[in-house]
Amino acid sequence: MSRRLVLGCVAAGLAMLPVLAGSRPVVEWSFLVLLYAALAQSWNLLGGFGGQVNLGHAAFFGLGALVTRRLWLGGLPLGEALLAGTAAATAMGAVVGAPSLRLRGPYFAIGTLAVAEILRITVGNILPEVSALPATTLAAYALAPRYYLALVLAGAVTAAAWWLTRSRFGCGLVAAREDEAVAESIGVSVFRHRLVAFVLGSGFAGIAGGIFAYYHPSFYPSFAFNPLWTFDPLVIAYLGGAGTVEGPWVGAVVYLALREALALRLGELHLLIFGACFIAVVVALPGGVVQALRGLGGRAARPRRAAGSQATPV
Amino acid sequence: MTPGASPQALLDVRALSKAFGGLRAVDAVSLAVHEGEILGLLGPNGSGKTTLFNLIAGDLAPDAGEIYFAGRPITRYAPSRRAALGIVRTFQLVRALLNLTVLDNVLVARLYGREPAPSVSRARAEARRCLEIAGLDDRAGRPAARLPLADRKKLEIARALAARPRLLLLDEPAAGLDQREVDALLSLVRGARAEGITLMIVEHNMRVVHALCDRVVVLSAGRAIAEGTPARVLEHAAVVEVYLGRGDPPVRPLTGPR
Repeated sequence: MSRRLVLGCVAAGLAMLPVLAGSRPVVEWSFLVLLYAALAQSWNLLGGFGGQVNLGHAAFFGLGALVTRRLWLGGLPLGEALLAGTAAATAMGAVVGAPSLRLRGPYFAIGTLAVAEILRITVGNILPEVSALPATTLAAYALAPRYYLALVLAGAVTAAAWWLTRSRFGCGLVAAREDEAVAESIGVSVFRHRLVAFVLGSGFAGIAGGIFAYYHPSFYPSFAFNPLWTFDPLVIAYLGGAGTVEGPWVGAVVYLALREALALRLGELHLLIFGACFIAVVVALPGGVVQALRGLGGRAARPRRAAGSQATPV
Repeated sequence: MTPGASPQALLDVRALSKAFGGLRAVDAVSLAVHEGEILGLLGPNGSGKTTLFNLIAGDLAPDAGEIYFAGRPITRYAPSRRAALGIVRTFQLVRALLNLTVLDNVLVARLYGREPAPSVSRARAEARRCLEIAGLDDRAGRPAARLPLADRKKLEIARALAARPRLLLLDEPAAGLDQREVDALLSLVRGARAEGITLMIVEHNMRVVHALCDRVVVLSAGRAIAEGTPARVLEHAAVVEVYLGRGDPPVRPLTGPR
């Protein structure tokens, strides 16, 4: 009940933010939080719930960005351009996922990383020119539509993650993460579950790329394929708590706040600190911030929950 | 009811072979398991029992031979597809979905396997029932990683039963259990049989074999060397030799006969 209330307040606050926030940097920062939360959540579907570390997420973000940008600048309405970008990323997800998910553990990670790098280099060679908005388009720039697109996407991916926590498919995916042989022995097709999660995550990453490309003033097409679009969401998911619904949101806020604070003072040096933070989280808090908070709250909340469960059959 | 007389076996293994390098772990083994029976698989360590289980459950692909289940060739099916048809196994070294609760371990099996529950809430209710039968209902909310060995073995069987098998493969279910725990296991397995589940059991504990098995097959060095009722087979000279060695000791004892 109270959880629903908190959720409602957060959603309402996020919806009102562009109207209420006086300063543009606040909205800009919030847009980034939403975009990164969405991207991290899309990585989390397979990486967190499925336990397969995909190091090629940038490929799908980049493909979504590339296709959406070109079609949109070519004159197509944004909706159709986004749809095409999403379709391209989803199809690519199926093409990459089907062979690479037959690989196990580190081989899957290396395989996906290789695919993303090949795409990045190829795109960089074919499209070496920077993609800049024409002056007339730039004049019509407004942040609010991008903000709301990112909000809807982050909400949709989070709904997908939430569905994983309470559906048959999600149970199967988590079982495959815990023990492949046990999952197979009770009828869970490990490969099929991972492929669905991978394709779903790729599609969502493609939409995130499309939203990034929409009205982004200028970027090299290959920039959207940069491995940072893999490693930022990965770090965010682990920071917040991989395999949890809230993790990517918590991680995105913490990560972007830290980046803002550190990058301003330390410049490139902040990457070193991020590396250290990431190692510290993986070693000391394997469940991320969310797990750590749950551990703290769990001790106080457990007796209450037990009492509540006895009361429910009324 | 007479084993061997029924026209079609539930499980029909034909000339199944699997080699690891030069070692013939399973060497042209043929056997049939009939609906409703409990078949014991005996043999010393390294005789190929677990490899044969892995071949039947689909965790390994055979080099040669065919497997039929209820008349259907399943030799190339993935383990999950065999589980959906009703072949479910347990593991010799107990395995569980360690970070999930005991209840969720069984819940997943109830959601998949043969005849999966139509909804998650139905599955959860039925999973609780499975835990009651296995005597684990008071530990439902605990992470599986925190169960002691005897309870993990119970969970292993509860999970397998929740997948509604037609043929249940138990790999050394009594290993590491004390007398009382073995008794609980025996009643659990008898309960499963009473529900119409056919069983195949690898077991070294002769008390369990005698108490449960209608028929046993003995493996030695990957070959099936004897087959019959437990009492008959254990008298069989070749079996005694496999287990206990030849009648004449190759070395004379140091002290003379007393």
